[in-house]
Amino acid sequence: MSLKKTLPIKHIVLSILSSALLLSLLGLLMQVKTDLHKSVGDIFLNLNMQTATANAVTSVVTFFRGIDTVGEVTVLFLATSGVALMLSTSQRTYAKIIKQDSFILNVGSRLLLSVIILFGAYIIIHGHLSPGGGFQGGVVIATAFLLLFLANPNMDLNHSILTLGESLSGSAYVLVAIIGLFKVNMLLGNFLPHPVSEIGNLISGGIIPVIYVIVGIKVGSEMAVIVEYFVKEEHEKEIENA
Amino acid sequence: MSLGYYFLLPVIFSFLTPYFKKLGSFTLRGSSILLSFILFVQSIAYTTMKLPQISQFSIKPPLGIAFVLDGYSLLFLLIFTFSAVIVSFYMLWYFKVNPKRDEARFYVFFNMLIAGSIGMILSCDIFNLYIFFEIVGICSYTLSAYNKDKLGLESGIKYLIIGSIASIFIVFAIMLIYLQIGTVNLGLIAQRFHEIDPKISVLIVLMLFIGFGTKAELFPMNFWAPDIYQGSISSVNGLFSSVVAKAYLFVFFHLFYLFGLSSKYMLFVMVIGAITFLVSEFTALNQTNVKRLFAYSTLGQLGILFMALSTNSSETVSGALFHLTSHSISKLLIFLALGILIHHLKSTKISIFGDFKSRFLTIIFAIGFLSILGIPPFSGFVGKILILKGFALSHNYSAIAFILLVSIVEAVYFFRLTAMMLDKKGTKRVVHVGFINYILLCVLAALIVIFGLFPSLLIHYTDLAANALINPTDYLKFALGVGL
Repeated sequence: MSLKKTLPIKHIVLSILSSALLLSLLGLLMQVKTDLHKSVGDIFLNLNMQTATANAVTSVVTFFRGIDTVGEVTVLFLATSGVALMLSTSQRTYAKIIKQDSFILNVGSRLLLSVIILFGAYIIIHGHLSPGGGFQGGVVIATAFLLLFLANPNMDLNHSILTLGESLSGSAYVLVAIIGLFKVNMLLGNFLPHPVSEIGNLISGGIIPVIYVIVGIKVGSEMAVIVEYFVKEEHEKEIENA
Repeated sequence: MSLGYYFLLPVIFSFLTPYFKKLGSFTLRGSSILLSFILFVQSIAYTTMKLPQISQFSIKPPLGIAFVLDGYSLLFLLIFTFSAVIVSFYMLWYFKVNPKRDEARFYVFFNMLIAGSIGMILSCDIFNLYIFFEIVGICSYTLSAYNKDKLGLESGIKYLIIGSIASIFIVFAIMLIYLQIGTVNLGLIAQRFHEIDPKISVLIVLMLFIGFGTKAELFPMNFWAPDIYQGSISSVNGLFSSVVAKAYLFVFFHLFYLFGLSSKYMLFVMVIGAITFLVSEFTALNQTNVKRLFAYSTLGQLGILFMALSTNSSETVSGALFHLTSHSISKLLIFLALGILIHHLKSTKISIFGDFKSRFLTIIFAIGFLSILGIPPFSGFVGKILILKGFALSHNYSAIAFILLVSIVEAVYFFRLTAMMLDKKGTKRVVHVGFINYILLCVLAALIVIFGLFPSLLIHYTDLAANALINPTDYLKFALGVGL
């Protein structure tokens, strides 16, 4: 009871304090003068020619700040492992949902599957030429698996292939970084030939498209695993409720 | 070996973990031990080399990202990799007595926790630091929920929310810095931080303080820490206390001195540290759960470290770094021994200290307690006396009186626990320590005694670290890529 009585006062004090803080923050932010013409972003734009990629964002993401991307891929990997650790119990046998599959839905989703995967692969491979890249394309590929799950909840993904994709692509990324150290004396260095004359071609930019393909496989398989865990968890609940 | 391997090797080990698991639990456990051994041996090798060392990624700094190792980060590198070796051996025992746990995923998070913490102390790019906060964050959220019982899940979700909010503050500060200076390289920011409009710089400092204060368990923002210690397994407690909290403390003071904030904000940090010390020690007095008790004790010790590290005098800072090393070893010792005790007595009540019979564990706990209290001949004594000496040299007698007075409170609960252990009345259960743990605890206890009897072994490194922290000119040269 005493807790309930004190709550409103706490809330009022907190809301007054936080709104005062927010107002003073906004007041300060109005006065921020930004002089971004000398920022490191502009220098990267000017240096973009060195990497010979048509998409400047890609060269920043995979090359100039490459180790950040290794970190991001690791964060995604850890998030997937975390989801798996939290949602898997030892010796869980997924109960099958007793629901008649719709034949048309099944066939239609299988038809769409190849188109979606092709589209995802296109986005990944053209990451250094047009907007998009490994992360975006990988997620597009994962949506293909989501579609399959929506059409047929009883489906099981082939885990050994997913694990292979995850582990090999991740290790390959690190290997590319280490090869750079031996070839051009710089971790993640661009050790493949990247002549500026090739800019705009599919094979250009040295290691940048290679990295994006690796990232695409990694992101695609990680996201597919996450989707599977969430879908199966949902079914578990439905069966428990029934 | 290039510094980049400190991050890349654990990453490759983590990615390959599913295959290690397929090869059997021996390979899985062995791979983790091997990894921490490689990193530890490499860190020892760096003590003989000329510092700072640099490893560059993609392009040269200040444009690209680089890892820089100076005296300050070397000390932390040694602490972290040593803790990793000890904990990876301890997990052999843990998985032997808890065979049904998900081993492979634990090792993924364990390896990446160490890698992320090492990344935090090596990276000289503030946005790259943020990536490592995320890695350490995700690993610690999941590890704290590793038990998957009610307390574990509560601590995991609590840590997730608090940690994400703290990250928002940090990323907001980084954004403001980039808007003002146009770069994220620590060296360039350090050079040009004083050019920022004072109003904005206060805002940036405040944001960084809230973000890092929350993560490094400073007083008004540390209410979450005991809950998280309570819900997670003991070896993870040891890692949180001796690696994660210390890594955030490292970044806090690294930025504090690099950005030249010590003259303006010294008193502020000192007072906050003092309040942390006072409040935590008094709260620890009436705890009934051992894990909460030691969590509050950790917070108290962090309070002393914040007081001493903010002083800008090399004697005090060197003493504080000595105390930090000693505290890391002692807390690791206490938490690992506590894990054995909790496993045998199946309780986390404070009364378990009166319920066990093992002369070895009693001695180990006594060494840990007395070292944290600062009683000779243990290393905690040297750490505390060096801090007090530093304060005396800078004529800050009120700080000395404060630390000594609050230490009495600390003594009350540590002596209470010791008295419980020595009490011969009541039914006692015999506790078997196990061969691996016997050796691990002996090594930790021996280190505490050795550093207590021969402090000059460690003072060499803490002096080096204190000088690198207070005068970061060498570090700046490398972070800016001058002469590479």
